[in-house]
Amino acid sequence: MSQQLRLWLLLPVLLLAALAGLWLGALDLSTVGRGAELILTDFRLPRVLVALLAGAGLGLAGALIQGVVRNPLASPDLLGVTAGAGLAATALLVFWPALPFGWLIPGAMAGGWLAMLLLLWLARDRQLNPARLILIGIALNAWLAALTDWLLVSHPTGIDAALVWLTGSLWGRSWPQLWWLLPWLLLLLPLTLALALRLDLLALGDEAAEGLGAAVIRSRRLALLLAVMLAAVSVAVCGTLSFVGLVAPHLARLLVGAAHRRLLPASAMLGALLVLVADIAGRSLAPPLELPAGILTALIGAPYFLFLLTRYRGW
Amino acid sequence: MFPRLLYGLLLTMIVGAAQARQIADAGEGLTIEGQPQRVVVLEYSFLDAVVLAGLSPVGIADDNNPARILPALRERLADYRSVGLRSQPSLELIASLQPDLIIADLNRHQAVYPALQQIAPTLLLPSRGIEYSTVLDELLTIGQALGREAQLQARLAEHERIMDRYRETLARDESLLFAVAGAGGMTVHGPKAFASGVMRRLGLRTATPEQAEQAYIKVSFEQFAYLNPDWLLLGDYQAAQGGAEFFLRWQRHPLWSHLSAVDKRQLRRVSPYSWSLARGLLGAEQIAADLQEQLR
Repeated sequence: MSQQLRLWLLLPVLLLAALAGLWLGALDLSTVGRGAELILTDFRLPRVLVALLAGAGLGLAGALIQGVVRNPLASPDLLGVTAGAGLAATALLVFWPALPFGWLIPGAMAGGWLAMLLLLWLARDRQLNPARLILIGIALNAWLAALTDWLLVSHPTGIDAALVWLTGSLWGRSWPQLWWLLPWLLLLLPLTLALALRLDLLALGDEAAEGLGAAVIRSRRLALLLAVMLAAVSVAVCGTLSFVGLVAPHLARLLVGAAHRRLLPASAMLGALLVLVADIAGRSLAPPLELPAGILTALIGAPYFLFLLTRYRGW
Repeated sequence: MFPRLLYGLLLTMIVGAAQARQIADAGEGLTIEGQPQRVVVLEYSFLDAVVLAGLSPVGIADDNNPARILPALRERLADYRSVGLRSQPSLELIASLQPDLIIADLNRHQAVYPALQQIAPTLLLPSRGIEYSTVLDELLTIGQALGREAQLQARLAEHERIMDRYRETLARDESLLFAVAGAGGMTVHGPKAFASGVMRRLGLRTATPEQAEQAYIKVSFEQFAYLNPDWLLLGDYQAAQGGAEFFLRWQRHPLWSHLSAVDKRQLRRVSPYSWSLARGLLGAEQIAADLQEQLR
């Protein structure tokens, strides 16, 4: 099967998963009767759409970051973006529990951006050298995660909501959250895809890319910026869904190859698929219990990642 | 004659509609009329007030584990539907129960507050870490929301009499400490915690420093030894699995046998579900009854 065909085949798979998301849940809709329409239009449909968009954002962010730093371990989680958003959200939830939920999204996005600014500032002298970016990212990530833990330990009464958020969950996500995600993704998706060719050049190494006319540092900074914005808005809406940004690009590379013009859309679709499937499983496997999607992305993601590593000799 | 009756009826309907109650809560406030019949409760601590008002909720976020509900409450419940975890109750299930009042927790359910309001009038109240006095205030707030305030006020007066009676037999000059053991270690209930407030109400002294800001305080063995209560009331969430692992280690510590509670053989096991989760009148009365039995 050609790589192009596989890319297109992802679309019907995604559509099927979305339909499953509307069909499955804690209740069998055919037995509900009067409230079925509300459940479909106000709970399931927006939640499916939020899962698709947030997953796409995370998958794309992962592919962009891996392209920039040319390292298979890179992901938004590793560069501290997720941890920055997590720290901001935890601080808001712990210090202002009565704050309307709508404030959490801009707060968490700001946290992710601040973490990124800190990363760029710390890496400023070295032309965004990939290895250095990763090392600084790991340190930053650990520091931000430690601050988050400290908040959680020192404020044990206010942490229930924060813990759910830090696991990553689509519980209660609906139209207001979708309206947050949609404009950002409409803006960022085309920009990202337009960057595909330059990312392919970067993959050849800095000197070769420079020789072929790519502005290496500028491309790298732009890709990083786009990745952070995508990851920050997705994480802000759904919490820190782990492994999506790491697994989706690897899976995409296995399916459609390493050329970014196919890799980027495939990563987006696979990220969307992963989050959607995790959420559907979380809310329909053991009703009335709703498990946070973040637990399931890790549960599916981690072993699958190990499997991929055995298949894969590219790195 | 007949039209006058009709007018009278109309008048009472209009007056009735005008009597929609405004109740201040931790959210945007609740506007409700009449007496709600189908109530959904999303935290154990609100269950008490609803049951004492003579209602049985149609839905409870009970973590799908009814054993966590205070037995005195559980036996008074009619059939209800579990709506799942307290941290993530299922909105679909709540909506399908067609409630006319939802009682939600400020901390856990802020994220779905607008969605809950869309399903039914929603009362948003703090729950985790609330003090005993707040529990009593919330009881009356829930009474107002249910349109059954008088009933709860009467029950509250009875509660005060019950607690006074316990107080006479319990008061003593030894320090007490309630702590819960779990996978994460030892958590001491500070002066602001519900159980500590109940113990003070009963004329007892708690071993925690009065200035502590937090309701729940994680402590190490050293900090615990420093608190050194005369009585330790331990609620072990892992009792069914053979006891919390760290606590078994603590018992082998050289200083363990020098602790006052150990030395005086005044370590008692109590149910963490009754003492910590069941923040309500019946929960407080259960604590008092447990103390009377244990402090003998």
